[in-house]
Amino acid sequence: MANTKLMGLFQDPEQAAGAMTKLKEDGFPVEDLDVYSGSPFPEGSFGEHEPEMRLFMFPLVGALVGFAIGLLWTAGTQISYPLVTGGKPLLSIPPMTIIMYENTMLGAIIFTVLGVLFESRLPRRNLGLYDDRITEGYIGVIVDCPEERASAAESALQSAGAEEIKKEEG
Amino acid sequence: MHNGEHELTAGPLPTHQDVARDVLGRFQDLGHRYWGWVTVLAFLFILGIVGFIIRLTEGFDDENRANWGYFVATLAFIVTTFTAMPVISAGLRLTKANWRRPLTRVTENMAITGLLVVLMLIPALIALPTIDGRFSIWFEFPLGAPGVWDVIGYGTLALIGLALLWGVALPDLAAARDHLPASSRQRVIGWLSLGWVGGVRQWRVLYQGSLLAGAMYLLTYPLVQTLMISDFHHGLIPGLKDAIIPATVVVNGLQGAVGMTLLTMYLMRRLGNYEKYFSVEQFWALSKPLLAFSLLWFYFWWASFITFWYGRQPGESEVIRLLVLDEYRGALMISFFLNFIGPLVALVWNPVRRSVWGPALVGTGVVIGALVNQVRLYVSAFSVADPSQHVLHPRPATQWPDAPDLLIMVGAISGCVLLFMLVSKIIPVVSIWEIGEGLRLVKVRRYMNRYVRVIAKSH
Amino acid sequence: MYYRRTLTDAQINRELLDVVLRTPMWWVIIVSILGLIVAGAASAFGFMMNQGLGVTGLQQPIFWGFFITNFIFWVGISHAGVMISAILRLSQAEWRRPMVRAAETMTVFALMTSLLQPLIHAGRPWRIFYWVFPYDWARGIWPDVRSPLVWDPTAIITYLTSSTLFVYTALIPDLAIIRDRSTGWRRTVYGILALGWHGNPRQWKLQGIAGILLSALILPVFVSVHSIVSWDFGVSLVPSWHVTVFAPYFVIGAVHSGVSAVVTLMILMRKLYKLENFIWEEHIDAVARLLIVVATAWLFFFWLDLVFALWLREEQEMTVWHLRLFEPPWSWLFLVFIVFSYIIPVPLWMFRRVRRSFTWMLWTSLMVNVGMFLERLIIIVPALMRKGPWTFTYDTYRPSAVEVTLIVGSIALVVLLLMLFSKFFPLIPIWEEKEGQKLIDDVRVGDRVIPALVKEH
Repeated sequence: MANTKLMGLFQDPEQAAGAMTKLKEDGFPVEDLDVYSGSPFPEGSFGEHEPEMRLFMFPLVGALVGFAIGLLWTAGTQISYPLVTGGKPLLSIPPMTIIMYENTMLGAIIFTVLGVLFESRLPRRNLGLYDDRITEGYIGVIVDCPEERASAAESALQSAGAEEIKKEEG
Repeated sequence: MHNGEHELTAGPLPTHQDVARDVLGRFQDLGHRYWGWVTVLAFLFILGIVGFIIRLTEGFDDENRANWGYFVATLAFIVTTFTAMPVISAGLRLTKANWRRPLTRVTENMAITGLLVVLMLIPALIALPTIDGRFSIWFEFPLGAPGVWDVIGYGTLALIGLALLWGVALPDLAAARDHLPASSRQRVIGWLSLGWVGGVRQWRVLYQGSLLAGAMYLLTYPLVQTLMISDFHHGLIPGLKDAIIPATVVVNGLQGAVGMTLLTMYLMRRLGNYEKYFSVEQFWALSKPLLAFSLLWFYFWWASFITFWYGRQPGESEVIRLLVLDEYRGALMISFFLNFIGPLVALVWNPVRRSVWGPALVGTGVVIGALVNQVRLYVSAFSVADPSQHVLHPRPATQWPDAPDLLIMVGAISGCVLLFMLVSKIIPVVSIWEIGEGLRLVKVRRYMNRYVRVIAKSH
Repeated sequence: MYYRRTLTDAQINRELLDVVLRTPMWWVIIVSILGLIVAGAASAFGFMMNQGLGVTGLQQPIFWGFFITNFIFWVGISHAGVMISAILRLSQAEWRRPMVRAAETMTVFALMTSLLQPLIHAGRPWRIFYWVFPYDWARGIWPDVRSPLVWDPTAIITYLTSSTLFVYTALIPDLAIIRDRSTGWRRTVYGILALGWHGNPRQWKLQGIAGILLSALILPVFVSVHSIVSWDFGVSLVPSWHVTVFAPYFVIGAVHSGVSAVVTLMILMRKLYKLENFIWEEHIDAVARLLIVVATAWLFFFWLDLVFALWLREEQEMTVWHLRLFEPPWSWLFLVFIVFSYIIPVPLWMFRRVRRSFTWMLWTSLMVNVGMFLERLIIIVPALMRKGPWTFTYDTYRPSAVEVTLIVGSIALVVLLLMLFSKFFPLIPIWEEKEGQKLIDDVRVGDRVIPALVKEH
């Protein structure tokens, strides 16, 4: 049986929070519910599902990659071109650490941004069920449910005060 | 007070009266443990005085100067940790951090150690060679430089500290005056409360005064650290020209202050059941500046190291060998791990920061690292035979502490804790009025499907 | 910081996207003028490349002049973005909201402009790549990583990449707002840039974490960048440059000039873009308080530099300081520098009325940056123009018309880039403003209602 997606649009965030509570009471699993808003609300304001993330792994991996590149560059060029300058050792560690530090940080930052995009499930090719009014203060409550429960979801959204309900076939 | 946990509920918050009852109850009966600790600390302090007398009998001649290295390092350690602690309350009050309230008094009560610092400074100055014929921050400055000016500097810090400690404690002294049963202790407290009644004018003056005294302490602290490092370290090592070092020791002092505050809060939780005042929120919040100061300390050290390493002038090479590569390498390594690597590796993780044990453990390490770092800086400087040379030659050997040194170190540190405990018998160790004010400015309310905390900023 | 007037999300969109969604005539005029100045500077550069570095005032023994001063100046300005944005994000200061994006964007453009300066200074810019990047596999000759001249580009490229990603990450929700308000090809372009942003709790949570995490990662980079610039001087043996305090002294000086530049920018933005609902006296007051602390810390480091420079009473060191302090024109410039960067502005900022006056703050913040430009010039030129044992040709440094044109051009370039940015993207983060509006509350104590903020924990 195909799933369907519904979006109830609410002008009042309190009503959207009420819709979430109603949907959960009506037996819709919290993992199948989502909320779209034009700006962030304090976490848990809608009683939404707590997302699980592993973002911390990204900067760590990035830092390791950056460090390795820095080490290869600084040690490699010094060893391959053994020219004494300024009376410094051929393999001078203090200046190496500066470049390695920069590369480590660069790696960590690039990977963090990639991690943020990946964990945000971005980029997405099309917006799917969405409404432009969301970025103007409306709240969209999304229900992902089997076709036969769509009318129950619709009535829950309606009873909570949805201004409009949109539907998308999944 | 809140425990800083994510899940807030609609449960009622404690009131000012609850806090006053609890703190004054503890204050009235300090318990047998308190006297046990006071006895032990007094004994250790006396041992320190014995060590000091042994040092005194050896005299202050130039050839005996090296004997005073550990004494000066201990003095610098106290300045770097205990005496630096009021900086925390001053800074947090200026930035209006709400979570400061339970911990300001602990840090302010430590201002009393400023008195011990001034006392210890006098023999340290006598042990210092004359500035004639050697480089110093005073150039040709007259009027008893450096001794007179150092004493004025440290005396000013101690006085500001005491003013801060006493002034901010007035409402709590009045509370203790009004609620403690009549006794000689109650009379002393009553006299110290200066007849505080809590009128509108008094509160305004207290508020402005606490900010002003705090700001003055904040501004004086870098100055006295600059005096100490210039006179007792930099001016004794020929060829050393390290303009960043005052800033490095100031950062080490801020680090030490945070570390010592964390350690004190942890011990008070364990030994004095102060869990509800020193909660995860305070440890969590303090762990962030601790990490920042640790990174800054390393950065400052690195900035001087890389400049010397590139400079390679004879003076620089010898100095780098003495302080970094040879004689005091071990001390630097210990300090490097405890003051930089440890905090970095541990405190980048939020679960560690957001715990009691994590910041306390790292803070303890930072305090130990600060002690070892003072030994590296000051013992090495005091063991230089002739400070009037242009280039350090020969480099002095590593100097290990002997029995009087150890007695002095243990005794002086115990003396600081002893002073803190004695002050805590007169001034409640938790600020009743500041917590009470904070409680009035906070409410927990429903926000859609959850609860949130709402914090108002006074003034 | 508390909101005076509650604005709806639609109102915030309308006011902050005004210039993005339509093109006012004043914008076209200003951009055209700036474009002409930049074109003039580009022609001067072309002339210099054609004629050689002889058309500049650089000569024996002074080979670092206005271009290097300008390089440090713009790197300094670029420190404002991270200072304001990262530190205020980490400390969750409410008053950060209207200024973070403008500050971050200024970082990016100031940094790009600073990167141009050593290229211009080299006279033959294309040759720089040999010295810096290890790409020439055929010759087997590698850049010397022991040279701080290799560290500079590494640090600046790291900082530039990081700041650009930082700006972009925080811009994504606003790009979605513009996408939803536009039609046709603009909707397609903004749609692509917004990456399909919906604004569900997962994305918002990550946006929050990204702000904190990237701030924490960029802060150490920001400190390292100006430190590395300072080591161009510090690791040499030139008297008055070989100083251990240079790294933090440069960094704090950069923050001083950069944050002052943010004040200038905020006030001009407020006037030009009619942002009175978003930038208030309280914001400028808060930055001015921060500036008092930063400027005083900077003065402490300046004092350390001076005292320890004189410590060993070395002849050459004393000569340079004598030149700076007592010999015209340097003594005059020194006076202007210290008066402009501290003696006038900081005591003035002690007064609440000054801190809350846009006019006073505009002039004092501009004053700081004139002072800080001179500071860099005074650090560089007198140190080089001292007479050494083997100096036979000796003269002072007078910047030529070409150098002055290029300096003016660099200022015009940064402003031009900011104006262009403001045409396509909002200079104030719209979603952050909306978030701020949601967090307003109050607490009643007795008869008084005290403004308060909602905290999640």
